[in-house]
Formats: sequence, C-alpha cells, structure tokens
Amino acid sequence: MLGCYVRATEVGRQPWIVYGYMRTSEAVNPAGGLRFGLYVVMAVYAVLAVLTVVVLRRFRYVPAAPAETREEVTV
Amino acid sequence: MSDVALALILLGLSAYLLFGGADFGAGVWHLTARGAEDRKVIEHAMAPVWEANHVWLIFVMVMTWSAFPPVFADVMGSHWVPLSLAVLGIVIRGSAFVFHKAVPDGAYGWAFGVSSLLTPFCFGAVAGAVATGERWLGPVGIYAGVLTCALCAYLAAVYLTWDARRIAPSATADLFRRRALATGAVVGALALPGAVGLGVRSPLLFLSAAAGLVSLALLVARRYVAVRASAALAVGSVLWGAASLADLDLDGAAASDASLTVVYGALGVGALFLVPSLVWLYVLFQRAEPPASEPVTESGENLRLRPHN
Repeated sequence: MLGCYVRATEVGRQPWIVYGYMRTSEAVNPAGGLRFGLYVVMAVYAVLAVLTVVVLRRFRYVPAAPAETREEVTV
Repeated sequence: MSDVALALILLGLSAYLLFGGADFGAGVWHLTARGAEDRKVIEHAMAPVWEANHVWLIFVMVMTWSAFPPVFADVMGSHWVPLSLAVLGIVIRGSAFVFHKAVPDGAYGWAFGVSSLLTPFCFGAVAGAVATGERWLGPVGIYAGVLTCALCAYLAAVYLTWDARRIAPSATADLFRRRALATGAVVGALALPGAVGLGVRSPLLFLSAAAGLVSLALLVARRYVAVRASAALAVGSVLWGAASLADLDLDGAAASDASLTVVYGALGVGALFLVPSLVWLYVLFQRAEPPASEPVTESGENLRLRPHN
C-alpha cells in the first residue's frame, strides 16, 4: 500500500527519469556543491513556515478585512 | 521535427518574458513606489494573475528536457546556481506578496521588490551565458541580467499606465507614463549597443529599435493600448536577437521523433485547457468595470463617475 502511494506521488515528480531505463541516481546533476543549494532551500522554507504562523496568529487578533475596502480608509 | 520544438520553446520564453516579466517589473516599481496610490495600482493589477504566468516557465523547462535532453542537462549542470537563485526569488516573491497583502509591512514589501529583481537578473544572466558561452557572472552575463531587469521594468511601466488610468487618479497614470518613457529610453540605450557589440543580425536589431521608437511616440501621444503591443514587440525582439546568437547543436541534441510525437500530442491536449483559461483570466481582469461581486467602495464610485474619454 505504502509503496503504491510513494510511487503515485513521487515518481510523477521526477518526470526527467525514465521508468525502467534511467534510475534517479543516474539523473542526479553532476555539478558540485549541490548540498549547499539544499541547505539554502531548507532555510528559506523554515523562515516561510515561521512567517506563515506569524501572519495567521496576527489574524487571530485582527480579523482580516477585505484588502480593497481596508485600504480605502487612507484614500 | 525538432524545429517545431525549438519554435515552441522560443514562444514560451517570449510569453514568459512578456507576461511574467511584467510581473517582475511591477515588483520593482513596488519597491521604488513613493505613494500609496501607485502601490495600489500594482497590487490591483497583479493580484488576480498572481503567479499564473510561471506556467510559461514550466512549459519551457518541460519542453527543453523532453525535446533537447542534453541541452537541458548541460544548462542545468553549469548554471544550477543562478537558476536556483531565480527559483528562490520566485518562491520568496510569491510568499512576500501574500504576506504583504495580509499584513502590510515594510519588510514584506521590501522582500517582494528585491526578489522581483533577483529572478529576472538570474534568468537574464543565464540567457546571456547560454547565448554567448560566457560565464553568468562575467561581463556579458551581468549585462544580460541588468538588461532583463530593465526590460521587465519597462514592460511593467507600459502595462501599468493603462491600469492606472482605469483605477487611479490621473496623476498616478502620468507617473507610470513618465516611468515608461524614462525606462524605455534607458532600455534602448542599453540594448542596442550591446546587441551590435555581441553581433546580433540586423533585421532583429532594426525591428527592436523601430518598435521601441514607435512605443516612445505612442506613449507621448498617450495611446496606452497600442503601446502595449509595440513595447511587447520591442522587448520580444531583444530575446529573439539573443536566441539568434546561441550556437547550440540542436539537431544532435534532439530527442527521437517518437518522443517528440508524444510531446506534441500532450501539448495539444494541454493547450485545449490552458489557452482558454489564460485568455479568460486576462480578459476578466482587464475589463473596465469591477465584477459585481466586489464590494462597492469609495474608489469604485469614483470609477463610475469619472468620465470615460
């Protein structure tokens, strides 16, 4: 069961490999330093996750008015 | 058969530059905006098509790896750093725009504007590097990156002039018009000598220069709809000029005819859904009147009372 799920979701995300002909390990970019790219992506998404929580918590105290009407006040 | 694939890739790149590029440019103007009015015009123009234009980037990537796998592998292998930075810019831009809408805050607006510069710079630098074979952080790459940012800012100013005229005081529309004139002059001064220096062939040079001059004249004459087309032509021909420089072995790199046939079939089916959806999206949000479901606001009233000229 789990195997089906993993295949259905993850194989479709690697459309550059060819089932039965090219393995994921053969499709890895040979460029050096790729791990640093991964670290940067992880850091950016960690910050985005924190900011999402911050923004949602802000809404708990200040109910969000539709942006268009709220900004009219300053016009 | 691979010529069709190349033409489609160029078409996708052009669409990304003309639609997505204007989004990046709008982010740059958001960064430099001085008043609330011009920010509002930018947010109003961008919110409905938020990130939809990246569909062209995905199209170009899928087409490249399907039709010319070795070219895709080569470009990704040697330019993964600027391409990753460009994608990070897209991610940060989209998130910052939403956070800024939710919680208006200087930091989110700043992140939105800076990432709007980072992405076109990186894409432009990679395009310059691929077209000429130089490094992306060499003089040619940096020139192409800066030129791409300027092209985006120019397109955005041209498009936003019309949007501002519909939804903002006339002073705001005039501000975008002056920005379009100024960036148009800067882009022309940047693009033409560079194109001559890099050896772009003359028909495209002539086309770009002519379309650019016509655009400036149309802006002076306040023909804001016509200038959208001529500015798009001027910007697109810069991209085609760069493509004419690229010396890639496409025949040797093309996928087999069997693969290409499948790719074209899938494209045809996809286009049946994608093209009408995008046309509908653009048409809906370019209408003069806001949809009836939107709350009628003070500026909404003004919009109806303002004479249409």
